[in-house]
Amino acid sequence: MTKGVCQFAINNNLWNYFEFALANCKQIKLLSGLKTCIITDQTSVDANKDHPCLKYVDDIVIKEDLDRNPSKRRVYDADQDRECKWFNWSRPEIGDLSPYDQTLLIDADLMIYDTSLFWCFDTEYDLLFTNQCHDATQQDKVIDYKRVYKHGVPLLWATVFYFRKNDNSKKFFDLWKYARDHNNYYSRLFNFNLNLYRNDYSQAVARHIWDANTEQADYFPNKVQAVSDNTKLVKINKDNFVIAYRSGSARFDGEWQMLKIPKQNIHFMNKFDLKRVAEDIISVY
Amino acid sequence: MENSIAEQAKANHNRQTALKVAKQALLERVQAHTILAQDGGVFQINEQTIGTLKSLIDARYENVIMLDANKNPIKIANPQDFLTKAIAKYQEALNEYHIAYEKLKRQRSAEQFIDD
Repeated sequence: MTKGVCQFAINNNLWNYFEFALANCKQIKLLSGLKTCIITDQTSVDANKDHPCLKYVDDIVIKEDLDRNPSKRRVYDADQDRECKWFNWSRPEIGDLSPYDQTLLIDADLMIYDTSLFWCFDTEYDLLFTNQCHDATQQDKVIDYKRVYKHGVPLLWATVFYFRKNDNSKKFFDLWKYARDHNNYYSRLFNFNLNLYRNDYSQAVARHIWDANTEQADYFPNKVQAVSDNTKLVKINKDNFVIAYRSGSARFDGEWQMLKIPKQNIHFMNKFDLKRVAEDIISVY
Repeated sequence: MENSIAEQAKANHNRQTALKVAKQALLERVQAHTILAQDGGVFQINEQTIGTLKSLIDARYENVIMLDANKNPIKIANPQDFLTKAIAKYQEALNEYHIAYEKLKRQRSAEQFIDD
């Protein structure tokens, strides 16, 4: 039975996502020896064809129609913001795209620093979802929701997801694709924002239907540790990150303070900082 | 922009707040590092897991069943082996926490906080 970690990584107008994924592949390979796979498009591969970290990638899956419906979103670097394209349409097709029998799917912006997710390969679970996210600044100004909408479906974080290929998981993937393809309908039914397609939402909707509208499912006990995009990375030390965050009650309110987070698996929402972290991984270790 | 933000954060550094937030971040890491897969299930290792397991072993139960993190009943094939692994995992995580926390407590200035 094959086991491996998959990441989707499509470059956009601002970032080389493929390189973020390569940095993660390096970490995964050095920490655990697990197989690594990047699902991407040909343009992203060509842009990184001489990258030194390609040796840490076991499989590259090319999926050209990933950008069928690129979303546009505003991205933040502390106080500054810009607009970028966001290629996330193909995530529900992971059941067909993954070359492994057991797959841990992670976002390319969840930087891997430890092995605390890899226990999933030693369980008998068919599917494991993530329903807990922790804002490392402890302010919950940005990451403060547990449901897709107040009183709505419980939110899941597609950032970390595990599955074993079988009939049971296939049924879930069919539902996930259905929820994605009918995003318009479900956004009205469950009252979430339609402007931006989010896999967190479509996965949550699919799980909600799949489990017969109950909250019964199997989850990672791990919380996704996240640093929101209204913060700024100050320094990367050997064992930790020093991050500046605003201490006020609103998103861009209050004076700057410092926070220290030990190196562990962290979801960087500020992609400008993520670039620095990925470059650090590629160059330092 | 980056230097300006860093300078402002440095000027506003509040040791008590920084210590409190950093402590929570360390505790979150302990949580993540004390998860163990066993006999098909997944367990959050803590005082309760270790205590329950030890009690069942001491009471010489032949079939040790435990609820995993998703409340699924898991039959533990080798309870003593699981207990040994659980204690090792728990102590390793707490030892990391102890080292990082002691270091943190000694960082009195903003410069020390940033550089170490």
